[in-house]
Amino acid sequence: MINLRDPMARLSICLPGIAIVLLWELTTAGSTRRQFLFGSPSLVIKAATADFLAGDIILDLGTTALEAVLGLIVGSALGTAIGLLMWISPRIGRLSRPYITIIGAVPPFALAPMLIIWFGTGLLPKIVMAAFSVCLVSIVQAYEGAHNANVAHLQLAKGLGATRYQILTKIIFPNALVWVLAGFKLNIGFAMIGAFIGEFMVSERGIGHYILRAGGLYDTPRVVLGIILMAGVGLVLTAILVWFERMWFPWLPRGGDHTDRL
Amino acid sequence: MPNETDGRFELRATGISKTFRSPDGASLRVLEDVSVRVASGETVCFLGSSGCGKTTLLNILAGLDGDYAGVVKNNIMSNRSLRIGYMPQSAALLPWRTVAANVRLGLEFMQVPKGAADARVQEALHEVGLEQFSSTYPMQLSGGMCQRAALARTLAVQPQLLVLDEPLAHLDFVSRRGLAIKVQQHVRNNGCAAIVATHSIEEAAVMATRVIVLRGRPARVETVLQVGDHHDAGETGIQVCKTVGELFDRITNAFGTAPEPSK
Repeated sequence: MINLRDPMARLSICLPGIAIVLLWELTTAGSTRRQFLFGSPSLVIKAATADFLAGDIILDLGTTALEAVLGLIVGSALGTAIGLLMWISPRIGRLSRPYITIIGAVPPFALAPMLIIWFGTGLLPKIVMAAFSVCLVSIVQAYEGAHNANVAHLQLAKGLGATRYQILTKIIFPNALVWVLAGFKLNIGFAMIGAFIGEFMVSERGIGHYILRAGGLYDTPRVVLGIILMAGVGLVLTAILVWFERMWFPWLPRGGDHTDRL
Repeated sequence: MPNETDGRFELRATGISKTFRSPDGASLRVLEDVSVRVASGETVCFLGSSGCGKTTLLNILAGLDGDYAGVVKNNIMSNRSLRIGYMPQSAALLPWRTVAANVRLGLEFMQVPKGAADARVQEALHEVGLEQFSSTYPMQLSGGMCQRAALARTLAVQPQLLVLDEPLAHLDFVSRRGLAIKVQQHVRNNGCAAIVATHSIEEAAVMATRVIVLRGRPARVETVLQVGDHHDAGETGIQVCKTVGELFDRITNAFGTAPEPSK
């Protein structure tokens, strides 16, 4: 596993990124055509400085982050509840499985016009879009988590005289929570996509709106800046999640470098 | 037939047979006409090689497996409402709970008030020597410590019947001997009955008041050795070692010389 406290380890992570940025700057410098097509790091920094000083982009960032976070929370909670309900009642599970498969096959983008008709053009349709993008993964994770509860744990609970309700609350639900949390990192990406699609369709704020506007003006550096900011929001949310896991779920297995085990 | 006798608990299982059926219709008989009786203050050890059906038998006696032929009865109440301290083969600690919270699990199932539960948890942790690890998570413990925490969880419920499946399997020699004596003392001091599955002759010699040797497939009772209570107060360490050594030889002879019945 890479030790991030080691300066050399940090450098080894940063080095490929620095190399790409340098290469990008060198290959686009002095060519207006290449700068128009690909932007350039110096132009992106220039655009970022101007927009951050103007302040509007901070509002855009906040809007997208808020939509993604609320969508993530609502979608995860809803998906977890549905997944657990499917496990608790095999009948509901059997009936709902085909519908969930059908819903899973629908690209979130296709729902955007309907959501705008139903919820207008404010924050709500973007949050719903983000929640919809997240929900399916949470359903699957919660169901699988409950389904794959450790047989030894279940037998132990029965052996200690647990009721069905106690088994659900003390063994099944915490086990499902482990799976849902494991899917959270994946869901941050899905929530960002959902929020972005919503903003892309219709919006007055948000990074999706910023990218759409910049694209319409053929302003490549600002499009690239928008993409970088989207990635940044995802990265910050992931870092918050990792911190949250460490603080509240210290027992969760940590991902590591698998080559260490060879 | 079991009956109510001066508050002493007694469990009787008669003619227990068990057949596993696979979905393709094939059947595998693992237990054949096994009978056992265990009363308060007694520890019955089922001794047999790995895979001979000890866990299956324990699950039946603990009421976890209802699909068997034969009769299991106790003289106090139905097997369902009996307070059982069950310890599975693996420690089966819940990774999201600290050691203390794991030990409290059975007490939560019994809905014991928090204050009383905390006291019992501390007592059980002290009994297995893990009081300093109460706020540790299982992932931070060694295999042996996990096993001791699991034993504490089992003892904390103050069971009428202890059902222990290979309880000392992952422990070092010294801890194994120490905890085997602890189990023995717990049974004697608390007046509960214990059923222990093990493949360790030494474990059986230290813990058991009666050893039942299971052999063959399906497993049958090959030999029953009444070993009595060899940890009387006043016995010196050397006397205990000598007694256990003698028992070890007796059980080894019974286990080693008994011919494997034909399949």
